[in-house]
Amino acid sequence: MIATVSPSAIAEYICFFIRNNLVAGGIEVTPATPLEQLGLDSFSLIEIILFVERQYHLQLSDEALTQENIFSSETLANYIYQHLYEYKQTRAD
Amino acid sequence: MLLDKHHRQHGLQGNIGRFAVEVKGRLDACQLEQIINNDPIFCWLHSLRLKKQWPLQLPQWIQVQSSDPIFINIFEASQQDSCIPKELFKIDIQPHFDPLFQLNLIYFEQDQTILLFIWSHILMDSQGAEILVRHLGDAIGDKPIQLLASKNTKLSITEQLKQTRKTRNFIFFEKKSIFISFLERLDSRRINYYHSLCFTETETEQIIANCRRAGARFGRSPFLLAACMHSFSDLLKRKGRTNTALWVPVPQNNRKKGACGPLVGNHLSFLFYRLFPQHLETMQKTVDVIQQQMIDQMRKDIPASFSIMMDLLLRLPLWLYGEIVKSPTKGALASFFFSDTGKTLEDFNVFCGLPVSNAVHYPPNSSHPGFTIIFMNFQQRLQVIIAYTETAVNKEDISWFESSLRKNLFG
Repeated sequence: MIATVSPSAIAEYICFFIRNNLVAGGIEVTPATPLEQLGLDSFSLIEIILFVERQYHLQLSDEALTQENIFSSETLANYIYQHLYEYKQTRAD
Repeated sequence: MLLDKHHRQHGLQGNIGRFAVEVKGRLDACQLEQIINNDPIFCWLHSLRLKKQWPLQLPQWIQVQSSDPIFINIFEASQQDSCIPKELFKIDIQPHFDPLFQLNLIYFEQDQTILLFIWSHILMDSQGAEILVRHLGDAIGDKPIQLLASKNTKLSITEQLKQTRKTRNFIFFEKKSIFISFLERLDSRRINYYHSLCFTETETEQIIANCRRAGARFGRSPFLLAACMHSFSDLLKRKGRTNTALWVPVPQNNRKKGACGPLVGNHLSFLFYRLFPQHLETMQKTVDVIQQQMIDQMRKDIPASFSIMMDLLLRLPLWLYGEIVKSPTKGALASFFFSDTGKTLEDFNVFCGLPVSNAVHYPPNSSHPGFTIIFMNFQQRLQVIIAYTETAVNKEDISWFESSLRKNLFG
């Protein structure tokens, strides 16, 4: 899927996944919330990565999963957007 | 249940967990007893016993009626005592006959009290116990407690078998067979001991900074596990044993973060780490390998398949189930047990209106492998409890292990 989604839409989608699957009701999750602050363990962080991979039909390389990229839903969304954009460019070329 | 039996086979108590809450001031035993006896959750849990079943029947709880109130055992520590009396670590709970938890209050001269909650792991895991104890001390706010997990969608037997085969292939036969360097198996001294390490806030921050430096991208656990793997491997060398591979299953809490439940049952998945000597060259390399194994297993959905396999095996007679689970490690279950409970105690400041000065989990231990390491945060401080049996290691080994672990954590 080469979606024409915006980074903010991707970030919101990640937040939606976190709210529904990983944290208790009532915990505030915004695109800017540091994932570590939510008390997410390594298991949950990888669940987010796998959700993103399934959702956008991509496989994030090991190098992509840096501390900076998985700091918050927003940073992860920015990386994914960039990745999708590059993929789209490659296909167009 | 299997661990309960495994421990008893090695001459120890069953699968018994302990959670200690230390407060400044004196907790009122009468008031606590009143709260417990008026609380439907405590009363119901106290009335449960494990039912004796025939093979192929799923394990079941039964409720026993009793008019006796639940009471709290009280201990007055002598002037020289600064810790929990040793006899409280020898208490056993027989799940078919005894109430599945008990409460103890230890009063210290220095205006301090420890509440020690002792329970059978068959009833709940350590996170469940934590929630229950915090509920007792009015320390979880207004959050409602979820007692039981909602029922999972039932998979067809074909699908269950398929998932079971997948896990079996992963654990037993993938690439290389598993060789474990055992610690001693049998000895007459089968007593659990606990050794604790506490880090200051500054030290904790330093360890977290080292996690990042070592390339830990998914939280601190891979780094903490890597440090333990290195120290354990060196301990084997010190004891003149060849490390051919380490096999460590690591539990993961499946509850939603910040949720107060489910309380009853074990809500854990497992990830399995198999490390060969070449993976232990540097901390960075070990962290990398652990993270890679973690991602690979989650991509293949191994934790979920493992849970399905365990559920399916529940119907087997316990001895057969035991043989299957222990076969990759030839009876040891693991090279050592490792767990990181995370930051669940970070906001644990008040218990029954008194300031909390510490909270510690004491894990159950087994004589084989006889070595368990558990990391936990209390408020902003990291602490470690090492549970061991002298069958496996002695006090000198433990103090050597501690200094090695410190070295690995601080870099």
